[in-house]
Amino acid sequence: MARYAMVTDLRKCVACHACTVACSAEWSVPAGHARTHVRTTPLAGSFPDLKSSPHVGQCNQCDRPPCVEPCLSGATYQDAAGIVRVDGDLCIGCGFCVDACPYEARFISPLSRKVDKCDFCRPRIERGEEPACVTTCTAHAKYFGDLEDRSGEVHRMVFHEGGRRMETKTVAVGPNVFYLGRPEHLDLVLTSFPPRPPRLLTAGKALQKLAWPLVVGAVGVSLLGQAVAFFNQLHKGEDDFEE
Amino acid sequence: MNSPCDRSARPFGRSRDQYENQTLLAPTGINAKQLLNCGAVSFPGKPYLEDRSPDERSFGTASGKIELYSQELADHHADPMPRYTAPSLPPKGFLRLIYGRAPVHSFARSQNNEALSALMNENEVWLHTSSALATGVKDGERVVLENGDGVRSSPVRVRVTEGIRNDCAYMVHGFGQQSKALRRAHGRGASDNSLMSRVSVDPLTGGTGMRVNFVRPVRA
Repeated sequence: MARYAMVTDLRKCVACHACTVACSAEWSVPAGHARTHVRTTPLAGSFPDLKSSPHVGQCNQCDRPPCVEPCLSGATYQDAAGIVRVDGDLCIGCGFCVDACPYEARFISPLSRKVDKCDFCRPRIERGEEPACVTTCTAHAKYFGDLEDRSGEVHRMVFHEGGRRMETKTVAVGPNVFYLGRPEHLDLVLTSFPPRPPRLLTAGKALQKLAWPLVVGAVGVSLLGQAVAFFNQLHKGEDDFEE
Repeated sequence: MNSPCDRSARPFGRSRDQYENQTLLAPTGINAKQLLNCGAVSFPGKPYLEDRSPDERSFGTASGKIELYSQELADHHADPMPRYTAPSLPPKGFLRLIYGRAPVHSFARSQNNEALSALMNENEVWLHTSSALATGVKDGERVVLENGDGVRSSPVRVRVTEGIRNDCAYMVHGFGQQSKALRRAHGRGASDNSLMSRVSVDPLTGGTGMRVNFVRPVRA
């Protein structure tokens, strides 16, 4: 089975956003949202000794995806090739996975009211094509392939050329989008756009919030039922007890 | 003025058919009727050096190479090598207006595109931290730029950055569109062109230098 991964060479990226546009066109992503986004770090240093780097973000198809557990309906799952997918028929649009994602890679589509995200263009892969962002990249900065294919360029870049995961000590969930670049630029990207600790607690609390009215309601209904029975009996009067 | 669709127009004193077939299309070997029939024709060009065989790889110069020193120019009593001429310096309180491109947009023609305007729908004027401090404008504020001839731009947002010299102001070209038909681009940002009331022309080649205008930010 394949283990899909992507490599983005930030030394080549010119921040033209063509990946974002191609992706949005391919998947009809509504305006104002994106499955993949391009950001540029703030400038570090003072003129003329400056440092900055573009960064291309998307779903990292993490090895230990923090978005799967909080999913209430079981819509979010990780498939056999490591791709984290959303079953649109099951998704109820609760947004707990959006909160849980450390990479801000998920959003609720205002059209479908369900969660939307990058799935490495799964349908294109199945047709034997590359993801839309890889095909369209004007700088040829994006590479897609199977990590288990030892002769592939993605394997080479990840295991021999220092492809780096955007992980910190606190947030290490095994992202499968790797980055190539000068170490000081990758450090700058990581400090400028650090992965956010998954908001699992928030999701748990929200679940409690959702569950609490149900409990109150159930208790209320049973009390009401007892009260009705009680007054009913008062009204009718007690039947004589026959031996 | 004749509309572009006016078949009776006589561009350069020729009939429309003559103009199209003899002037515009003659080098391509097709005529206007053929073009109308098929809609588009592509010609296999050789835009890259790699497309050509080694003996085809030459330029129209005496040496067949790109010439840094041109004997042809020397024969015409001109400088055979480009000679640096210092540009005029900005007057006090003014900054040299420089311009460039954003990777999102192409020249001045993509600002109304739906997908691209969603990513970038206005330009900014970049000012160095020290020149912003000197003029008192703040990051994110909207200012009007005024050039040395008193021409004023439409309002444009300020970006205070270390990424520019302190004697220059930079803008992305292509914004400040005036046509109301460009509904997404109209009135967004400011036009660098509108501030270029001066152009310097190289007397030898006719090449133009347009970074010779000086501007100052004025509070809108």
